[in-house]
Amino acid sequence: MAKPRAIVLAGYGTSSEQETMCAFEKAGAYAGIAHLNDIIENPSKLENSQIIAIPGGLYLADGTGSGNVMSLKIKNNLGLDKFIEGDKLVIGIGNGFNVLAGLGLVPALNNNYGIRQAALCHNETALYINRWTDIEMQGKSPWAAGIGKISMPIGHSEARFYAEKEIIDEMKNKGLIAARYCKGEICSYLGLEANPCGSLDDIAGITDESGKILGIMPRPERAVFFTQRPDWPYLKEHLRRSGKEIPQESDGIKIFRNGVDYFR
Amino acid sequence: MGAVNKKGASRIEVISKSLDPRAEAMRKKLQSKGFCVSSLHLADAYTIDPEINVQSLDEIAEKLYNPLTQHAGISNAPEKFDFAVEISCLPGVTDNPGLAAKEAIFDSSEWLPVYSSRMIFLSGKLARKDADEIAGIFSNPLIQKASVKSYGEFIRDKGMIHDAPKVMLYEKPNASIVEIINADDGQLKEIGSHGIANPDGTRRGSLSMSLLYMKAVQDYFSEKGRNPTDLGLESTSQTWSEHCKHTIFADPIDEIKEGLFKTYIKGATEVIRKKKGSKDFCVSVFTDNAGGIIFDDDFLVCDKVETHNYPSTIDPLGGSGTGILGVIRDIIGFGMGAKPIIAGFGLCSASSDDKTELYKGENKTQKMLSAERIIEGVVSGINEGGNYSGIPVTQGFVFFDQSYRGRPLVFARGIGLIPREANGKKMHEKKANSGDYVVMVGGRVGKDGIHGATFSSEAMGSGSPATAVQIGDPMIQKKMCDALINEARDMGLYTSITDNGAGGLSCSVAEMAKESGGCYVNLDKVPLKYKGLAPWEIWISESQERMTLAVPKEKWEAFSALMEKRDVEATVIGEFTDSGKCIVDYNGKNVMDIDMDFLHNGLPKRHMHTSFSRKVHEEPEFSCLEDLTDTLHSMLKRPNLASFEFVSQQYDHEVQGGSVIKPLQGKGRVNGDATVVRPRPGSKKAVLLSHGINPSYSEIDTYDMAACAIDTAVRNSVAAGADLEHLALLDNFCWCSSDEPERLGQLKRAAKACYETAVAYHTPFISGKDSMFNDFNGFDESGKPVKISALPTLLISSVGVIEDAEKSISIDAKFGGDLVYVLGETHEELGGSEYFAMKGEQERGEKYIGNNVPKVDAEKNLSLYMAFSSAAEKGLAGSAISIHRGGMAVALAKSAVAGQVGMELDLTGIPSSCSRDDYEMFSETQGRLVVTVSPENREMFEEAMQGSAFFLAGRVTNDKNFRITKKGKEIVNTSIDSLAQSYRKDGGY
Repeated sequence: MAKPRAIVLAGYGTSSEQETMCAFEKAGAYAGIAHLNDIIENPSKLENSQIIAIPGGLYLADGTGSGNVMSLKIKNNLGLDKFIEGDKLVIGIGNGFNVLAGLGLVPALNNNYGIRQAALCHNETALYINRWTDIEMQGKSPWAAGIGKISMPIGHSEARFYAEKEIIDEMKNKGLIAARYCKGEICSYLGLEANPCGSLDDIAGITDESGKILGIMPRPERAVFFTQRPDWPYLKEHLRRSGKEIPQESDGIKIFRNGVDYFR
Repeated sequence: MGAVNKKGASRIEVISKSLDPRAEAMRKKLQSKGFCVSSLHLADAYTIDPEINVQSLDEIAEKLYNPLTQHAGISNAPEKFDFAVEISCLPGVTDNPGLAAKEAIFDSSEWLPVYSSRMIFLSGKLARKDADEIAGIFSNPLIQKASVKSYGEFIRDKGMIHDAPKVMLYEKPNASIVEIINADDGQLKEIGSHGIANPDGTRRGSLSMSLLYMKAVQDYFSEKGRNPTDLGLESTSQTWSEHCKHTIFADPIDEIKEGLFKTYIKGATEVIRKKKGSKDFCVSVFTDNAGGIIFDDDFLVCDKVETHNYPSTIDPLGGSGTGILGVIRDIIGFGMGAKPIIAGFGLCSASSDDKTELYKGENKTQKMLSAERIIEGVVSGINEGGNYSGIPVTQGFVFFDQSYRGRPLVFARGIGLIPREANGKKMHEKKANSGDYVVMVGGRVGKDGIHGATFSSEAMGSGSPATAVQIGDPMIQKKMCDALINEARDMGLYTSITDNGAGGLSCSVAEMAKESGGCYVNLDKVPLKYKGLAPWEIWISESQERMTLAVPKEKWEAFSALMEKRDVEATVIGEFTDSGKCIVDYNGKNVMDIDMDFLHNGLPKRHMHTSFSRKVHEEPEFSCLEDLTDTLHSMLKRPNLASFEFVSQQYDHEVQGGSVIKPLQGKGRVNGDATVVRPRPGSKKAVLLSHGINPSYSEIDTYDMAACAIDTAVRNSVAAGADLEHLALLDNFCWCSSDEPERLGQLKRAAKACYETAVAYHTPFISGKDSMFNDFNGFDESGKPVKISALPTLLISSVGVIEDAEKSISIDAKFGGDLVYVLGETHEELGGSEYFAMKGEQERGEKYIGNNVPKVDAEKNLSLYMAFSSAAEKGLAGSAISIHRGGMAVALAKSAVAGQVGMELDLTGIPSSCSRDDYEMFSETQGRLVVTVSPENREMFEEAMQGSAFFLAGRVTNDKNFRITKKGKEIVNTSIDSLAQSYRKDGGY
């Protein structure tokens, strides 16, 4: 298969569908945005896509909890099969992760899809937070393959990962923790601690057992271009003075490339 | 799980299983205020009215909580507590969590009203009055109801008693006739200033119409041989209001017959555009909801700055939130509809440690919110307005002065992008045609914002009429914006669009009707939030998140179908006509029939007269300290100079993925003066935003205040890499007592400075707004009458387009060994400065003002800015920071803290006319920048700067010491870490 199709769900307050679509296009997919109501009316759009993305945003102002209303809309009107069946990749970013957790699509231990096993709660500060973080991508998910430590921003008020200890242990044993906050380039640059919201076990992203469904809290779609990094003016000056070329890209694109390359 | 309450409503409460960070934050806040609270629990409660059976209630509860982390039940009170507080919305107040719960529960099938409330369970050493006070801290009586129960009462009553805050209004009121033809001057005055009389003799609230205006209305209707309806009169008052017609800026003033706006603001733009000739980048200025300039070959960028001062005074959260949502609608209503890409904010307030108590009513009644509450509320309101809309909030500022204690100023900014052409049509142009439907899109109409909320607290309780405070529903607006801008616009489904803001339908429809030449509206068609609104209320209500569109009849079916698919309500409420009249019907009767010409051009001109006398302030006398290290630290702690990272981090400034220069810069995370956003992923072109504001200079001379605001906005932009050839300005005048000749004299001087300075810099004004009466009239803590007037304030916002985002410049000094330059000359200009204010407060408990306010030498500054820009274009500037409030030493310290590098500086020989070291360090002379340059670029940089004053002050160092010497003497010696500590004190919060 040459170019996979990626579909980004939108509507009811999603706000990052444009940049998520652009990231997939830049990574080499045919990408499009579809309003949830259009998909409910015509689910074939979902069926014809190899990659499904649930972007960040505040769904219906997130009254009753982040992602809750969006999860219910999907569950009641679309069901879960379309996300699980066939050789598909699914990614939920930011609040999209809250939706996947609310739908029970991640971690879905023992393929128990539909059961909520993990949650994302109010940040320790009880405030919305927008800052850059470092994460280490790990595990066997195609989304995470070969990436290692990367930097990208977080933007959410309910980002704090929670699950019971047994669940986390089983996730660890099965390699379902796809991303952890860590102290890397950006945290050192900004002098900030690694874990921005108080997530248990520094968890920033998880997958289901197949590794094909990824929920990730930091925002790779906001880390696609070099000038999105907070340290770009410093790096640019440094590189220029050492006669090196100034890069055009930033780390987040690697996740989208992984998604696209899986189908190549 | 859930249960049926005895009052006939069903109730579900959701509580966190483990420690809820929101509860913990509230507990800490109470502790910091001296309350002894040992534990605090929160529950989110949902009341469904009318009651539903228990089985379906259980199903519903399932949808409202997460069993992993929460419990749900009828009452989730902890086993033991001392007091329970419930905070719920007053009837008619927009209840966003309740609306979300409704959507979660019913998913567009059968709808029942759901009301949200919040339970707070408190334990600790608390008396009843503490619990009451705590309830007051977490609620606002204008929009919320707080109930308090002790543990005993709670057990006895089996919980709180849940009244659903339903609005109870039933009859369908009609329009009434207002007798004005035969009214005498006294009666006309009474109607104009206190409003139309209700049947019970009370009055509806001021029409803000002077006798002159009332007589013009009287003449018009006498000629017609009939009296107006209440609706007709209210409508005329809205259209003629200061916020719609800007009469103070439009009417003749002294020798200026054409008025200040035409002469000085629009006048400047016309002169500049002519001079620029083929390089003119203005496309749509002063005619639309925002000002539009060229972005690139395919797009325009539009910009608008609004104020929302009064609503933010009484409800800071809702007021500032609707400020942001409102200015975003201005962007959606620019041309055929622009996509909002950036939002900005500004707050002028008393600082949070200002404990002055103020009352609106006599005998210490109607207490005004504290400065601290206002700041907290505004910060959260901007968060909701921006974050919920998916628009990055980048550019922002805070400015503190005690003159804002009575009336804070809240600025909201919106920036949009719109294709220059689509469907073979210029997108900044629009025209409603005769025969097009008048279509209202978005939210429904309630009593929100009628007469700008003039009502007393007695009027409010359960079952009373809805309150008059507007609270936006960002989700309705987001859905509407997406459906219009992403879909309907490019499908060509409408011919014109505008926002429903001040004056509601009465202004938006009448304004669009100018395009076709008339309109007809049937108010029965307007969807309402609840029954019982009088027709005049429907017509002027300021309910949020609504746009008015002109939809051609043949497009209606497609438009309506699209809106339905996107869950956006759209209703035909009338038709645009070419009758020359604005005609409104209600309940089978005509309730308004007024000529368009009279409505828009009938208001008589007043000739205003001004006076001006320059106040002489005491010249401060204090000696200069030998060592200014502590002084520099104290300056960095000043709320006006310190970090507001706490605010910046709460705002999502990265959504849409275009962020380039962020609100916080460098390793040291210092708030910069400009931000840069790249709005199109495929293009390196970027939008550069900044601002200038110097209200404290108004105490000396408003001319210099205005000139400095422009110079600062331009200089901040230049420092960040702006192209002076592609930079535009917006003006926001926030004045006080604008009916007094002295204040008008100050206004005239400021406007003149705007003309002269903008023309000198070739930076055209593209949009503006004014708010002319920022005065508080009330009572102080001893019950004495008091008037507090905000300083005459001019916010100048700048918007520029740069070719290559990668050429923008950050403020952080970057590498040890880099050269530190100060560009420009320093003069002894400390009048109105932060340094004088601080010294006065330290020495006598009140700020010093002085007299030597900074003057702008535009010609000299412009050539320096051009020289710097040409150096920056060649990549010679490693960092650049504009010198403004706090002066040179503060700018140097901020650049070093941002870069987390030291500086070794010697100011001996700096171009300066200052008699003292402290004046030199903290003078606010305009036209200066601090720039760091790689040593290898020294020659090229100095060559580029030839002809302008520049001074090599020293070097960036790799250690963390910050040292300034002069003539062999050390005047500052400190470390970057301790400077950072002072800077991060978060003084104002």
